[in-house]
Amino acid sequence: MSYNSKILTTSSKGIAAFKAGQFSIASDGKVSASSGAYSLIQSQTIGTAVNTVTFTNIPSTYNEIIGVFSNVTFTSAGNIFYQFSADNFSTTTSIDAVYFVNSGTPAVGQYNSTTYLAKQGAASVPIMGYIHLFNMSSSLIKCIRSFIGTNGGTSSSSATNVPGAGTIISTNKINAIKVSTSATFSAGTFELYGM
Amino acid sequence: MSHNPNLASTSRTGVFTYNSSTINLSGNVLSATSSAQKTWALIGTNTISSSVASSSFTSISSTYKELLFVWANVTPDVALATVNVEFSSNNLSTTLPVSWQNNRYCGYSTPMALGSGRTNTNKRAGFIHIYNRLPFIVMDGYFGCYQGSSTNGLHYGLISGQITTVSTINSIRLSLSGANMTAGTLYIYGSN
Repeated sequence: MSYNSKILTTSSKGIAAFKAGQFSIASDGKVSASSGAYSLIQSQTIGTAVNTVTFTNIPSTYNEIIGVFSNVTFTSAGNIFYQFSADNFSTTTSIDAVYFVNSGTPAVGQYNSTTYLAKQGAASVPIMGYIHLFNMSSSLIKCIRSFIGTNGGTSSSSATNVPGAGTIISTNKINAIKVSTSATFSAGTFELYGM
Repeated sequence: MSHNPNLASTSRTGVFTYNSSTINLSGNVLSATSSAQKTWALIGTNTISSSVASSSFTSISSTYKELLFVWANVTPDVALATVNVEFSSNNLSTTLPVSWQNNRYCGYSTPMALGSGRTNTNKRAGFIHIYNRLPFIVMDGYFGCYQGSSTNGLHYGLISGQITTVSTINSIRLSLSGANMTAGTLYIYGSN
């Protein structure tokens, strides 16, 4: 272990925060750093009704990205879709294609660049879910896993609680993700983590 | 950003490491990177440029607790060739049984037979994410086809399963039933 002895001998106490990490300076002057494996990149909370939530400028330093949405409600029943881009949605051709399947509907295969996650059963039932993207720069394909499910309520469509997986065909790293619905998001939180 | 004003006011500049973290103090700016964070390393790449029956990775270090096996653009020389994946703890001297399921099949067998494409122009792609920790080595992933002339008859599926072994796996092989591969790229990544 190497260290700067002048810093370690300081008597200062406190916490300095930097990005998602935290540095603790104890009373004896020892400094420790702790940082979770995943850093919160961006967070968006639905304030007024929208049908699209977009994350852009995702740093290329992250090889894994996890998008989480929670307590999402809708103005009416609808479907949820993901879209991906390698150029902040400046063009429609920044990635070659997305292939995706989930265990709900459709049963086998989705062959377009808009990834269909699942059907939302009822407007009154909040949903949650995640998408896990392996965003390796050296690979031709990016790997996706996902889950969507109910987050409350007493009933749901059988198509609501579903796992999914797929691939994005792209030699470029994904730097933007768009979540949209065929209905309207009326509430909910969308967070993006990177590793 | 919150900070300690006493520390921030120092004019000292330096770099030191502590608990796997590199901490840099430059003027009033404190920054750090933590090597304790989870990272992915590209362990190997296999590029198929001539007809081969299989492609494999061996001698995968046991230091990697997670593996990501990715195949892209895998092209068979005949139609309806099923993708098979095998795992081994002894560099493919023997292969391990797998309890697995996907959208088309389920079973306890080796190799693990994934779906096929309708034609030999339907290039196969997919991945398997393996948690290489004993006593249970579990996996999940996806397989599918793309760049075909028709989507009719294409197979896509989720993969999940458990590899039965008393030793962590150190090798993976991909092949096609009754066909050779004429093109494709395989990747193996490892994470701590």
